[in-house]
Order: sequence, then structure tokens, then C-alpha cells
Amino acid sequence: MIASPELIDRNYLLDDEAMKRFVTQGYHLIELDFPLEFHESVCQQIDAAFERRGQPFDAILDEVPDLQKVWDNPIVRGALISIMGPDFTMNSHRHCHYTKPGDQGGHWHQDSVNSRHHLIRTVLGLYYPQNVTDDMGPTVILPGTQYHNTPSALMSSYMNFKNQIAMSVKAGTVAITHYDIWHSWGPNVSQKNRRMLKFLFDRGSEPTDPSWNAAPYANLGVMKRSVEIDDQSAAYKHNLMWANIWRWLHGVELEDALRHNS
Amino acid sequence: MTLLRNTLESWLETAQSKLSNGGVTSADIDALRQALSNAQPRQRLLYLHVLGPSVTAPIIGMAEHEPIAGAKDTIRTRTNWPYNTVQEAMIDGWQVIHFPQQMAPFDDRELDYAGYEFILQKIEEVTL
Repeated sequence: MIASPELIDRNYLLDDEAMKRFVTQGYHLIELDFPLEFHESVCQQIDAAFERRGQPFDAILDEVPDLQKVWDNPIVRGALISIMGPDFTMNSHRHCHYTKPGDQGGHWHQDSVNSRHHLIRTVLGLYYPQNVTDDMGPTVILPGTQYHNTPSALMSSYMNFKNQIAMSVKAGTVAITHYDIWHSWGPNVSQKNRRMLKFLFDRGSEPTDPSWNAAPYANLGVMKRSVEIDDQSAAYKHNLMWANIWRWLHGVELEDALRHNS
Repeated sequence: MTLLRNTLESWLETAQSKLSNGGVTSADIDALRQALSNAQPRQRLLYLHVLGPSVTAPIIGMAEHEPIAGAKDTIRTRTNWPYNTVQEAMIDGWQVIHFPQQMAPFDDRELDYAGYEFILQKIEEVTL
């Protein structure tokens, strides 16, 4: 999925403000402009695949090839190129989270093992092909936690946070999140099925230039307490981290403090 | 879960209304006796995640654990946050049974958590 420069429509790239929000908050939302019939058809194809063979795991894209159209959409590609560079690739792992009425919900976790990286090397692409309401047990994320390295088992005493974001969204919403952001989902107390397609995208190379519509480089600047869960110490640490990630995304030399954690 | 004091308040309200209408009956007295004999003390737990280790620091998250079989707090968008601080919960009768450690047993360059965890309890009589 390497985008040659002539194929990149800069109109779809993110601007500085959107990139700063991603660096600090760890997510970016897109509403696809596809007709509703497209999303309904995707739901039907998913249901048919589950009926035929059960959970398809990584084969969900083979079972529902229309999903590729989501990731080929220029707005989605523009956001992915902005965040991950023009030579990002789709990871072979993907998963359809399918929660039915009565599902008990989950617990807060970070995906995979506790070997985290602060730089943006992998993102999740979450696509919702149907409307999601609060009673359907939406995905929830906790902005700013993408730079935490937290054993998921030790998150088990957490439940609800004041600033968690519930993905109660319209059909056709795509959320791009940092791979390490804390996430969970609620119980499905509705009478509807909830489908969420999780895809992974990997960075292809180190940034040498901004891959978004960037203004001339300037330091990120001090962004005090941009994340509500940060205490004073964490806020200082995150400010340094964000500034370094901002430099790295511009292809500017990192400060030593971050290089050791990359 | 029904708290005994709520059961008693309800009984008293009914009894009050009956005073002008023939008074309480022996069945009412039996119901009250039954509620009292079935009541048991139970431990309610409240986990509060707070921006700092002080009881006056702002709360950023919470979890409620009620002493009933099968009861489980869930991930949801809460519309009510009963307390802004641990101190407000204490004023409401909650007792702190676990204080966060200020001496973190890890290097905070390596591991991160969200907030400082206080665990509070209320021992309440509940009717079964």
C-alpha cells in the first residue's frame, strides 16, 4: 500500500491541528461519505460469513472484500498517510468484533504484550458499519493513554473515567487510534448486534519530512494539562514526549530522552 | 440490593398513612419483623481513581462493587458522578480502607497508571 507522491491528493491530508490532536489525544475520527446501503451490505456480508464459518479472524477481509474500499477511501488514506507516512502497510492481522445482545462487555486493556513504543509505528483502524448507540456497548477509549505502558491485568480495578470517549457513532465512522491507547467496550443491553472491524496499519519508514499538510516547522510548544488524567508530573513528562514525537514526525533530530524509549 | 434503612423508611411512610385509616395491622408488624430478621451487614466497595494522593484531589474515575451475587459494574457513559473528591465520599459515610502509595514501586519511565487508587467501604444492613 505504498502511495507514490503523484497519487497523494494533498486535499485529504490532515493539518497541523489534527496531527497535534492525534499526538496528544491518540485518536482521529472520520465519517465516510459512502451511501448507507454500502454499510448495510457490509453488515449482511459479515453476518453471512459468521453464519457460514463462525469467527473468520484474519480472513475477514477475504470474506468481506468490500472492506478494502473503506481503507482505500481517500479521506481515510489521507489520514493514514498523514499519521503513518506514505509507505504505510496494512498488517495481516485484523479482527471483526461482533457483540450480540447480552454481551457482558470488557475490561480496560492495551493490545498485545507490554513492549510499547512511544513513536507512532502502528495504528488501529476501527470501522463501524452500523449505527452504535450507548446501549449497544460501544468501544470506549481513554485519550492520552497511548504512551502509558500498563499491564492490562493491573487495569482490572478501573471501570469508568470522566473523560473516556464512547464510540457511539453513525454507521460509516472510522476511528484511527494509536495502537497502545487504552480501550474497552460496554455491555450490549440492546436488541441489536454490534460489529466493529479492527485493522492494523504499520509505518514503513522513519519520517524524513512531514507527511501531512504541515506549516513550516515550529516547536510543539507547551500544552499544559492537555490530558485530563495527567497529574503535574505526568503532564511535564507528556509535554516532553509530545514535543519529541512532533520533532520525529518532522524528521527533526530527537532529544536523547526519547531516543532511548523509541 | 435493598438497604434496610430504605425498607424501614418505606414501612414508616406506609404506617404513617395508615394512622388515619384504621392503623397498622398485625400483618404490617410481621412484615417489619421479617425485614429485620432477614437483614444482614454487607460490605459495599467504592474504588475511586484520583488525580493525586490527597483526599481533596479531583476524581477522574470510579468503580462500584455491590455485595450481591452476580452484580458487576460495567463500562458505560456515566451521567452521575456522585463525588468530586474522596473527601466528599467520606462525608457521605464512606470509609477509606486503602490509601495509594506515594512511593511508587516502579520506575515511572517504564510503567504508567491512571490516577491514584483509593478503596472505600460502607458496611450497610441490607434486606434479602
